[in-house]
Amino acid sequence: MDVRKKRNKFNVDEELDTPFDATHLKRSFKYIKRYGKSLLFALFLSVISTILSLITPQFSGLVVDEYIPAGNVRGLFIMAACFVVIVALIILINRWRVLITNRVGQTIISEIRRDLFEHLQKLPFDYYDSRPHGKILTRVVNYVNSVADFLSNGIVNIILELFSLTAIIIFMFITSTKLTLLTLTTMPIFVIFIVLVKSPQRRARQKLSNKNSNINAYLHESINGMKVTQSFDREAVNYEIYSGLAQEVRNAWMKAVLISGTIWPVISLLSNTVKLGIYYSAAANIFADISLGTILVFIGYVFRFWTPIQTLGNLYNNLINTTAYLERIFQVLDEPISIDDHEGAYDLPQVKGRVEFRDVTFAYEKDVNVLEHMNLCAEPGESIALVGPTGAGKSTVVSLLARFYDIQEGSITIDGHSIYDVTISSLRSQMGMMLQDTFLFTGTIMDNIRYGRLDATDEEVYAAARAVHADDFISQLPDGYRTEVKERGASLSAGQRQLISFARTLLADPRILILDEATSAIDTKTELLVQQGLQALLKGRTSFIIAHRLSTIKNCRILYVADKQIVENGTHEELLALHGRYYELYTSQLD
Amino acid sequence: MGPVRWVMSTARENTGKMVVGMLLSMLCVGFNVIGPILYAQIIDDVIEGGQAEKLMPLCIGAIACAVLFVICTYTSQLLLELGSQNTERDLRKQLYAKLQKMDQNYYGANRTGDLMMKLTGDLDWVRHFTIFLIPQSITNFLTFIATLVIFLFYNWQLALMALVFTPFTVFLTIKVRRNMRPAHDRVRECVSQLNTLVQENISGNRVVKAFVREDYEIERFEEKNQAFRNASINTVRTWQRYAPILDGFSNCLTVILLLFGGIFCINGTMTLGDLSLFLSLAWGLNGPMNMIGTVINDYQRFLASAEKIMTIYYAKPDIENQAQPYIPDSPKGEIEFRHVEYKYPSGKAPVLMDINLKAKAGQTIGIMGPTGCGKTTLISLIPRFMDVSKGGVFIDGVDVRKYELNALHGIVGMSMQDVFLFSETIDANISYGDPEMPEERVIACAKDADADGFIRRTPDGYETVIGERGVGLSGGQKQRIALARALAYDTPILILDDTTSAVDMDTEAYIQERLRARKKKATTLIVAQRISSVKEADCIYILENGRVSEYGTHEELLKKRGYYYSVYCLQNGITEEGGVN
Repeated sequence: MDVRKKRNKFNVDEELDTPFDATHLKRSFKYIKRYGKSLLFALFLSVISTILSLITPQFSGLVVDEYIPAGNVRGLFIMAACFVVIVALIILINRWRVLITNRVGQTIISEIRRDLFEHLQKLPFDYYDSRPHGKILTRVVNYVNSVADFLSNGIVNIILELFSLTAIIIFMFITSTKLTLLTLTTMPIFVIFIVLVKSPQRRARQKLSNKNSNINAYLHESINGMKVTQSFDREAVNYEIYSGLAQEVRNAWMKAVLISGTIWPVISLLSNTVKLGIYYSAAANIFADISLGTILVFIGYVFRFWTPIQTLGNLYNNLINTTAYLERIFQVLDEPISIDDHEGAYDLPQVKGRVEFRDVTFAYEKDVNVLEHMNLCAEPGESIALVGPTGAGKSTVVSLLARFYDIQEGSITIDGHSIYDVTISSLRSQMGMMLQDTFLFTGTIMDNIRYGRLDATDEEVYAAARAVHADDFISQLPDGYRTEVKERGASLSAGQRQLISFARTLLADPRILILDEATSAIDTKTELLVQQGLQALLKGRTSFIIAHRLSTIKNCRILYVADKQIVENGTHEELLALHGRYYELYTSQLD
Repeated sequence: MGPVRWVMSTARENTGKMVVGMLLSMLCVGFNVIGPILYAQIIDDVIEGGQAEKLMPLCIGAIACAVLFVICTYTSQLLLELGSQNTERDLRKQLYAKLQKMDQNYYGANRTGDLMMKLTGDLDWVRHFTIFLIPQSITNFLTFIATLVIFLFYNWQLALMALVFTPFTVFLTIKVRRNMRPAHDRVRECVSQLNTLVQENISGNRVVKAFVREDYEIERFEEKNQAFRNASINTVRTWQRYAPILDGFSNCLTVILLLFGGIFCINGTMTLGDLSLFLSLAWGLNGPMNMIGTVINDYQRFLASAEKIMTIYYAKPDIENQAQPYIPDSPKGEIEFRHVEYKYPSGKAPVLMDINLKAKAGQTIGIMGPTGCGKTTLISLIPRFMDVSKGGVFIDGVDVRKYELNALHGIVGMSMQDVFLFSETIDANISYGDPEMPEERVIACAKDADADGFIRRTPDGYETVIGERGVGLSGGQKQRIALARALAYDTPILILDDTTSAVDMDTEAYIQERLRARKKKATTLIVAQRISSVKEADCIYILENGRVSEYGTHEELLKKRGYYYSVYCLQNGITEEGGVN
């Protein structure tokens, strides 16, 4: 079973140990393939415009060599007209190409982003719990944006440049085999250089993406925890930490450009060496059989020979950057969905409500069992209260029932169906959970309650709010149900947030209701009203209630959770009569 | 101050590097021109002219040129990157420092996703501005002027003709400026919305799963995702209305030179040599003319981002130090509320009215009341998370608004209802107020908060890293770490806002006992729902509908038979007449 990995912090790089390979690129071809036709067409357009642009220099030669000596003004005008037409054609074709590749690029990244997001929705709590949220955010938005250009334009350009490189080499061979071979002698040097620079460059890029991720994570948490920081007067310390992270990003960036910046100079140096070599050999008469004309023509090709290599050099830099980002993106996509429907999973039929835990053992972290051989049984319609000391595993029990985590041993069944045999969505959608951490979304109060059942009518929303006595305070707000909730519900009190989240749970009309400290921040009188309202609603539904104020659970069957098991089980009266741990707990609460 | 001046003022320390970088890059252009001249000499003098002795010097010269060119290019690129990176780093620090000064109102109005966007994606456009737009504008402008001067010098008629498209280019550039901006603003807005949505989805992942709302979330995401895609495509489409024309103008420059230069040559008003010079230098005019569109377009994108970032730079917190703020020498921790009224900036009716409350140094005060009655608001006034609308809150007789803010936060320790823990080790969380805190103190405070036991049972003890917001811990465990953190901060005033609501009664009783036994007793304000939490307080205040409805000790309040008494009965299963239920 899944064992919790070590949690990541803002200042710890998330190492990748996969060596550089083309796998990430190959995988991104999955996305590119769908637009293969468009990209091929774009490539075709590029080839045409490249050929057309090769024609234009001819005009200058024509003018200087023929029209001017001949005094042919009419020819000049015809030439100008042709020139303009060709330029116009090139421009229109290029525009067409840009529009195509841009559309394809944007579509591809929107698809990658969608797949990432979809996958994130399936990842278990564990994933979110074990790394700073800022790091996840950076991947979905920033990294995906960074790969856009390469996956569309980059690919087309690489093919295009390789094409023109081949064409030029052929032309060079036709012109002079010897000079071509002389030119190509520099290629091994270039290849060796690229091989040498490849892995430090990749490491530098990875490091940069790590450092970026770290600073974003820290920033994210700083913003969320600003109130704590301010109240602990810690601004100066955090500023130092953030400055340190900013410095690290800068250093990583400088290191990356220090390496990648060498590619272009090396190309330019090699290209000049070749040129000089040709001139020198011509001047020193090394190749006696080569005419000056040939040399001049050849020099023209040498210049054209290095242009695609230069462009390829830049593209290579892009490729390295893109792979560094793709690695991170695919790392998320490769994150196993540890909690998923098992093969042959069927929809859980309408739940009657018999819940059974048999011999359940569970650990979040390997070898640290939270529950051991625990047994529990709830009859349909029964209200079960889980009590016990903090950290005893009460919340764990209900999380297991909703299959937020998978158990190591034993079985959990609902109406005799193992929760591992049914689909997760059919299981969770019949369960209403009110979690300890009441998270509200930005949006109106109405939207937040309706999150429980998206197709609920306004009337149903009001009814749910009335049932938990949230209606009173909501209708007193200036905009009533249309009041905008700020991020995390910051404008509401904790009790009010609980009431809204309570209404949200009720609206879902669950067959099994789980209330985990649902009313801890609500005052006792309101709580009593809520409970009275709940009585009617609980009828026919199995419910699990976790509460510390024992006065709230007297009508339930009480299970006392301690020592990784359920140690006492019975009604309030029965357990009191037992004079055991529940009795102790209860009497300690009385004044 | 405009965005450009803002960036430049931050970049000031690095201007030296950037200017040298740009000068070097212009020097490179020079080397690039000398190289071909030397090669031409090899042809003319050595190959054609047969002066073999000139070959070596010319070759050495060419090599020197090539090497110098490479060195200059590399150095100039690095200098520019260094300048740009240092500027970005300094901007980051500046913005972070500013964010730390902002108050809770600001964080209520600005969403995390959007703030993140400003310090990531938007900042990247500032980097683009410093590394690309500035050097490109300057070098292109200078190249254009230099080429123009040479052209005018050789043949002013042809030079003027070469300028024929310039007004159109300028006109188009103005249009680009006007029409691209809305498109860029839209893209920026879309990214920000996407960012915010993903951010919230990640934070709320538990709720999403509990309600099986994955598909709904994907649907909402896809809407924003598509909006962003369309906005991006649309931007390029708009840009492509202008880019080809600008490109065309710059290409037509060569046509003009060829056509009219050819005519001049035929007329004999121009030599063939001059024409070839014009042709070989044509890039000096059409390059910049082609570039201007791109620069202006990117500049508009930069502005869209920079203006957003500047909202942080210019944001003014509502709560600030007064002139000559008060820094106390040895605060005692006496608290007094005098006729305090508080009204939300947007609200009509005040949430707190005529609150009078007094706590002597070292006393414990309990605050109770129904949900939403203003308890948290009341205590937030003490560390000035908000400022009173009327009346005043006094610590040791001095209005809190007169205190220096950091000093005030050093007096008031808080454990908040919304427990926020950092994804750090437990040790680092407890010693948050003072990272230098000795380990014994961390452990002692953890013991006082009854957290030591469960911390030691975690695999790495105090070195266990907890997830963001303390995920992985139960509600009660989180509360106790937050309490230990507040205790470790050791302030004369301690505010505990519903700190033990998720803790069982035994633990609570234990914690209270430990708190009472602490040597240096802080003035303690306890907000709670449970009678047991406040029972021992020196005075308990009941807040109802924004007013203090009753106050007194536990016994006094029981006698009053008011709100407190009825809550007491409910919590102990006693009917109000006195018999056990």
